[in-house]
Amino acid sequence: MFNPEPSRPLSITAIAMITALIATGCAESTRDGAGGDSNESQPLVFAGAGDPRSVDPVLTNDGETFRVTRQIYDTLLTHEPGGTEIVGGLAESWEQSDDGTEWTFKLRDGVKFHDGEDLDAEAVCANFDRWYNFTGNYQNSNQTYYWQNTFGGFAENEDKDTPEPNFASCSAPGELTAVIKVKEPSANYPGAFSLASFGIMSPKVIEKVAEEKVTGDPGSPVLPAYTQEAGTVAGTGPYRLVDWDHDAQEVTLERFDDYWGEKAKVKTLIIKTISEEAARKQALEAGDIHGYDLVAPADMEPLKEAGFQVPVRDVFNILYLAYQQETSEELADKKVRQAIAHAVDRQRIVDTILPEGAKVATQFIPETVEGWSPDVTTYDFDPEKAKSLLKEAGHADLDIDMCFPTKVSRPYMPAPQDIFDIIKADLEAVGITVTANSMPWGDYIPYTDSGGCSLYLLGWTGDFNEAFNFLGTWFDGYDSGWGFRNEELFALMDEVSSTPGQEQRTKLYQEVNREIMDYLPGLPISHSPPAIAFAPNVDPPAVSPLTQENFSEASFS
Amino acid sequence: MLRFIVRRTLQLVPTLFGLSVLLFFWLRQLPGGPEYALLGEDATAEQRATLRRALGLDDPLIVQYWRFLTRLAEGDLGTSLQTGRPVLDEFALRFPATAELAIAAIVIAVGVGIPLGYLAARRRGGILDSAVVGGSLIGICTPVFFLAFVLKVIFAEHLGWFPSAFRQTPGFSATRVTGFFVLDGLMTREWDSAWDAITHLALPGLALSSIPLAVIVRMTRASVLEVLAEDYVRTAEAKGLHRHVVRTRHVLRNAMLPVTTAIGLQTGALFAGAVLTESVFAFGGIGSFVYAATQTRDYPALLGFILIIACMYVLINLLVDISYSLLDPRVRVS
Amino acid sequence: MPTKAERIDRLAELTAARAEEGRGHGVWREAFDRLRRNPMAMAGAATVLVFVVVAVVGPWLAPYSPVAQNWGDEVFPNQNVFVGPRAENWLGLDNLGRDQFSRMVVGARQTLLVGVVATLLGFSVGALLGGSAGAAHALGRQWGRRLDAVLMRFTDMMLAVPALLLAVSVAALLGPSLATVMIAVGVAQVPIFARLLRGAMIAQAGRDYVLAARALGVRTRRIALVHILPNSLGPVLVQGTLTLATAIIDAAALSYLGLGNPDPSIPEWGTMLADAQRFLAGAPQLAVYPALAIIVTALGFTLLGEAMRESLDPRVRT
Repeated sequence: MFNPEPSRPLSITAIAMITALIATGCAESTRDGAGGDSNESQPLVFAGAGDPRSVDPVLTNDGETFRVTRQIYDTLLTHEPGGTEIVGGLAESWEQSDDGTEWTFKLRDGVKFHDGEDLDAEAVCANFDRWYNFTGNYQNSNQTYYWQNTFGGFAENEDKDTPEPNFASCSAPGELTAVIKVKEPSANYPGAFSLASFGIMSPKVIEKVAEEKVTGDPGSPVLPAYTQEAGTVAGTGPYRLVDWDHDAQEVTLERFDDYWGEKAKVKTLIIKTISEEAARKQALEAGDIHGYDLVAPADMEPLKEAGFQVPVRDVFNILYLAYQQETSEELADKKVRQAIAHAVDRQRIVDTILPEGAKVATQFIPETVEGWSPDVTTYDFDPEKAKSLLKEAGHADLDIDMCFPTKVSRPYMPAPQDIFDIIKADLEAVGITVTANSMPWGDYIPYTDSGGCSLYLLGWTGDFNEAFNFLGTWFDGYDSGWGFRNEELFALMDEVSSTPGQEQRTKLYQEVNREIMDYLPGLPISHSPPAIAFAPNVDPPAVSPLTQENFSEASFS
Repeated sequence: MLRFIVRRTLQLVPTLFGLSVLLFFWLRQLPGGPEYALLGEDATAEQRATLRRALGLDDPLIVQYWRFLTRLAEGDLGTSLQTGRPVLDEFALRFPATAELAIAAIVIAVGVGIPLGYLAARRRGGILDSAVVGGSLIGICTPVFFLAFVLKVIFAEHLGWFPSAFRQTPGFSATRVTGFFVLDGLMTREWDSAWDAITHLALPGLALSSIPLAVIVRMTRASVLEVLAEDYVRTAEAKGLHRHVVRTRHVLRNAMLPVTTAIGLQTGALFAGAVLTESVFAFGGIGSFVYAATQTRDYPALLGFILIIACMYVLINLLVDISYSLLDPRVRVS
Repeated sequence: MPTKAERIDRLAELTAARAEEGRGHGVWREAFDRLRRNPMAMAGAATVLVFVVVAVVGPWLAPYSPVAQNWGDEVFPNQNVFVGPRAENWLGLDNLGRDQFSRMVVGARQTLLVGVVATLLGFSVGALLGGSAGAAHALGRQWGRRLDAVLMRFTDMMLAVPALLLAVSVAALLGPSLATVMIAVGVAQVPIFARLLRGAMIAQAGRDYVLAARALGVRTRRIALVHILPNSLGPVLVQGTLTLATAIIDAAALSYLGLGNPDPSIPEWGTMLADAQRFLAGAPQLAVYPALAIIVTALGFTLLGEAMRESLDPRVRT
């Protein structure tokens, strides 16, 4: 058929489409580089891995939320920039009574809230009294998780399973002197006063939200509106909340000009959400963001080569291989536990998988935590010894299951699958048959927690510098995730938790650590710093082992 | 026609009711529960127990289902446990992102697919034809998440033509009206905002369009070929009708019938593909939310979202059937 | 002496056979001939053949163990140090120092296994549902229509949930395992097979030979099983071939979502691809090999399936 120019209109459409697509891309770059001082004109965009949950920090327990609220609120105590030592925050100084039940805080003078109110002892007490007097759905353990963990229950507990309150009272003997009394001394203090959950809010806001409730029927608690938007909350932090765009998953913070400390360098700070690890990296490389948290170790070197900054945090966590002695009876035999410890090449995991700055762990707390013991029993990589220990125990052909989580990267455990693979290969090299079992993170915790796995990978990042915050998580009593009863250890833990003096505690912790590493309930694998990355044109804030970066220190260079 | 629509809509009710029952009881059989995801690694058994009780998860399932139904009667789908906001709000918040992405994908697929398929059919056996047939086969056979990654590496990282993530440049303080960023930009006459949103749609839209594009190209090609061979086309050409008229009135219109069905079916399937694309491009739509909800066992959110999606899926199919009957007078709906 | 009923059955079979002789057998033979002459079909068949052979003999082809971390001290993923192709490792090493070639070759078997089992599962459950619905619709009276309606409402419900979402929920329910992937991918295909078979059967039910058999009083169950079902299988077989491609791709997507094969040391292409995305910057080859393998294999099955469909459908003559 004679057909010289077929369907021109259609070809034109196609070409137009393609041109339009390309043109779209070219136009994109015109918006950047507004000129002038970029600290004033350009927002600093930082990406976390998840959405924040609430801008009232007492109602949450996750790091993604705290990254935002730490910029808005200050706490009574805080940690030194880039370190783990507890230093004054809103309190210039503090002291404890000898029995550890009375904590006196001397507050800074001239601190203003974002709504213009002044900080005084009454304001501090207004916060503590509010938390202590929570009723209704506020008492749910997922609404007030940290409060219940550190100060126990409430003035009037509404559920029999809510713990008894350990908080007694807060009083203001002087304008800038706040006294907080607790019923029993605990290893949780003074660390608890530094928790981001206990950010101090303006008393005026507290008045305003006094009637706000966690509403909803059973089964569907709805957080009050003020926790989901800008406009109501006000703290004393370097940034104030100006917008939370749920559509764009974007929190916008702006410099608070009356901040008591050094003012924020960048005027506008934006916190975004990118849940995919690889997508965060690509967004940084493409210039869509200026920094992100939880960098995959494999990405660190390529990022550095491309000129990005990957500052290394100090370690403040632990990754361990847990032994569940009830699920697998063989593990109740200490020789088998030791054999596994000798079989695993932990140094290789640190050398090839974990990010720069990682160390092999000798015990369940990192070296920076008071109470770390230099003389615990150690277990070197020695496959021959592992084999002979297994033979002695009569389990030369041990068959065991091991679990790891998929599709997740924890601060203490990047690439769980690779770590699993290495351990599996190591164990098989000494004659142990390993059955793999993996599941998504959401299923993993309940499964391992209820004793579903004989061996499993898990870890912990400390909330504050206190060994109990680590050891108490696992070893202060029988735990279905471990399945052992070592009364001697439990008694030691009990003693240390009620000892008020820091020095005595440190001694006791060292004894506990020796006891643990002798008993070997699990194998501590490594301490590894969760990596964070910034664009080449950013002066990053001091990176914190507790992942408490203070973004007011950051600026464009 | 009206009776047909009414009847089909009424048929929806038992389907959705059955689906809600199945889903409700099935979801509760999943191991674990929201208390684990909500409380983290360190919570005690007591804390979890209290939370379960507070959430009403210890009540008999029938009671819980009844509670769901009574709430549903008031138009309330419950509250997302992850975010503490009503499920409907949560859906309204995330739906525009996914819908925008799906529309972009369909626009690309239709806008590129139909002309390409038509051209390939007209020049059957030519280079273009082979390229189109081969390309569409490869498109169907490439895992979407891999394609998305490759597109991003090439066009966002290396060439820098398009942004690699988000729906809009961070800090772009645009006025939000509907939550559809492009539409919002057009409505408020913030042209740069609309444009910015379009550039952010380009790569994820392209990635998501790969399968519908391939399907539509192939459908169009096959369908045009079939119509071209029909007697009435030959008759029309023999009659000396203008080529343009033959093409549009006879060939295209008749060839579009099966293509319409394909478009409808693909639109539904896009919601699933969006799960993968959204997470690669940090697009923050329904897909990522549903995935997170399965992880945290956010029962109310999962149930609500799946029901709404199923509802829309069925409605889209109904629309396809209707448009089919409008396009083809031979199809009589009764 | 055969009974009266048996004589009628025989007659029905003869009638049906004669009805097919003209079209039936001829169609199949013609279809096969056309298939042989179609280069796309041959290319697809060749790809599938190579894939199946590799899958079967893979473990003997692999020079090393696919799980042994023989060169674990040469690869440092945390420092972006990888080992590419070299004399002893034709495709280089993976991120834990395992031989990539051995993993690819051994992985073919797992991949095929997932595809075939998932497809068979979707096919058999779908065939059961669709077959009974189709038979009931075609032959039953009032109760038959009702049974058909109930069964189809059920498949509609399954269809109303997008396939991948269905697969994700199944995988979440069962916990990750290779069997889960097969079931999840298979379940997602059930409603498609069911509808397809039902449609084909209803179409067949209207054919003359069925009407003739009914007129002669052949038992309905017999008509459904012996006459309608076999003649309706054509489109289902085609769908099965196409589904193999989808199954392999869907399995990769499940792995990407962390719901796939739980033991990463057993190589499987989908898992390998999903996992290697992490190293796309430093070692793109780790993702590219399994990606190419998946694409080519899926392409093979698709080509073959499409060609089969074309050759079976006399309207689309090439």
